[in-house]
Amino acid sequence: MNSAVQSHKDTAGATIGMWLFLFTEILLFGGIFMLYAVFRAKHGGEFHKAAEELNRFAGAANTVILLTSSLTMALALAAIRKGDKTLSLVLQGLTILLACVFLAIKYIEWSAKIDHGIYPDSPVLLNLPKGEILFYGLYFVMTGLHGLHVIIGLGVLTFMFSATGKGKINSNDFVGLENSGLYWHFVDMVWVYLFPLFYLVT
Amino acid sequence: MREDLRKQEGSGYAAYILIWLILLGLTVVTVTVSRLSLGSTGAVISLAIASLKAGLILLFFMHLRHEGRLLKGIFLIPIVLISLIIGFTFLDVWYR
Amino acid sequence: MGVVTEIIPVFSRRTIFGYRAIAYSSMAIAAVGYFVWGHHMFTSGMSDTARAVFSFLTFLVAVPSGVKVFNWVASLYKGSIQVDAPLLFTLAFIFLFSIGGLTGLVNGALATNIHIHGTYFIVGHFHYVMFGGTAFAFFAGLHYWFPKMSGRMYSEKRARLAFIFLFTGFNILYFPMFILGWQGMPRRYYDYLPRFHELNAVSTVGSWILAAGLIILFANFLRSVRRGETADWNPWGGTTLEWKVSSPPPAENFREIPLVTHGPYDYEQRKNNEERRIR
Repeated sequence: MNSAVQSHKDTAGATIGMWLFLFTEILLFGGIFMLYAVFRAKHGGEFHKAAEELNRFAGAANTVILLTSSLTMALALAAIRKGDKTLSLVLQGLTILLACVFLAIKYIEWSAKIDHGIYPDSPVLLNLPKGEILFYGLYFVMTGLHGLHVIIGLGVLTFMFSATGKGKINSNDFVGLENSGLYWHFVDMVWVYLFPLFYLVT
Repeated sequence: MREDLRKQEGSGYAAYILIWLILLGLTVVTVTVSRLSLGSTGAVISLAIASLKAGLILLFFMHLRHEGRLLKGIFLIPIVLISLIIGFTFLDVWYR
Repeated sequence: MGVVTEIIPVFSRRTIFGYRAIAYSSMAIAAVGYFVWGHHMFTSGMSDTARAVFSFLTFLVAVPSGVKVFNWVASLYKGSIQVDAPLLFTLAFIFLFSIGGLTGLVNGALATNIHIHGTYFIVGHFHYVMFGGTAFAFFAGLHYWFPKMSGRMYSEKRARLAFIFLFTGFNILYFPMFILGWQGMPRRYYDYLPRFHELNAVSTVGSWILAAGLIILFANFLRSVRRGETADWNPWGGTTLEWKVSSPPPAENFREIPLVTHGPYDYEQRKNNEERRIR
């Protein structure tokens, strides 16, 4: 009886729980992707025209930044598994730094659009053709929701950084970092789709 | 399966860096293809490349390839679900 | 539906018929049920292709549902049936759910849907499924596990009284809605044309009977929690594990992991064992 009552850490369960949460996230983003698909099917030309106005370079730079941050995250996990705390901390710090750079670029991009008078319900936007209004609406909603996920991820990563520093995450118990990594890779994956869908519409 | 993964002395830094380089390469490809203005074929290609990248992230960075068959199976559910939902919606959009 | 499948074997002293078929049917309903949302929008100007596909998928749900109903009835066949409150509610569930399901086919068919769309027929249908289906099965489960939860028995007499009120009240309340809807009374209005008056009056009386039944049911439970007779470990003669501990169950449930020697509803097996012991 005692063995069943004793508290033990169910790491496999923790990871499965994280995956289940990510599945609900897939469905959350999936719903908006469906909206995008329907409107793009109806207003292909106008989507193309509006997409030309987006800053491709910023989009590509952010793709590279997120992919790199995913790499440093995966390496940080591999490092802690080998017991190399310092290396893991450096890599986690790099991930956090890259997340901040991503948000900064996103901020510059959004500011540029807002300076041009393009933001939801703005007079300039409402005078554009229907397809372009829809495109910008989806642009703000989807990159905004993704940005929100980046901000949340940033918080989680900072928390993990301090937990690693205190030794709560170590080579025997790293499931917290592993799950944060899963979340971070998922955020990266969403961007992998957002980038071609918004910046590279042909 | 998971326990094997834990016992491994890390999955090797080099493998991760290789995957990262492939991902960067695919990003370059997708940007280049988009400049050729291929119309709807271009959209299909860019989505295919995105899915390839997502697959690499899933399998290697998220270690899905080390997971058990159960999780791999469950993973298909949201994917199939969302594809079917989008598919059925387009039954209306295309044939209206 | 799980509750129903749990109760029927206990009160008919028989193994559930088609265990696997029932389990797979539950999954099939869940899976197909996910892809029927279009059936709410048949008259909204959706494309004909989409309407045909969604109508087909809606019909498809009837197949596993039918499988389950037939399996439940088949489980009762040749059983030694013990008609107590949980089984009464279960039987009512099968009856009401069947009506709800069959009228669902009327809704799901494209042609008839045009006629009854947005009418009281729809209201009748979903109350038969949601209230007749879910709530009656829920009441069955409440009565079935009440002794295990509270350690006391409810009054069987009062439970039967509540059942009679609920069942008659339910049908008087919701059945006229099918007729009203078929005659063309639209839903979502607070008022109706004078020619719909009689059936609406009948329906209202039914709602009073139903409410009385609900009050009796919950009053019975409230009274029994304090003053009911002490319940045995296994008042129904169930074979599943929860009946192998005291009512209510002790903390941690089992002192040692129980040894399971037969399937969950294996009444035949148990009977054979007893006969062997007697010989």
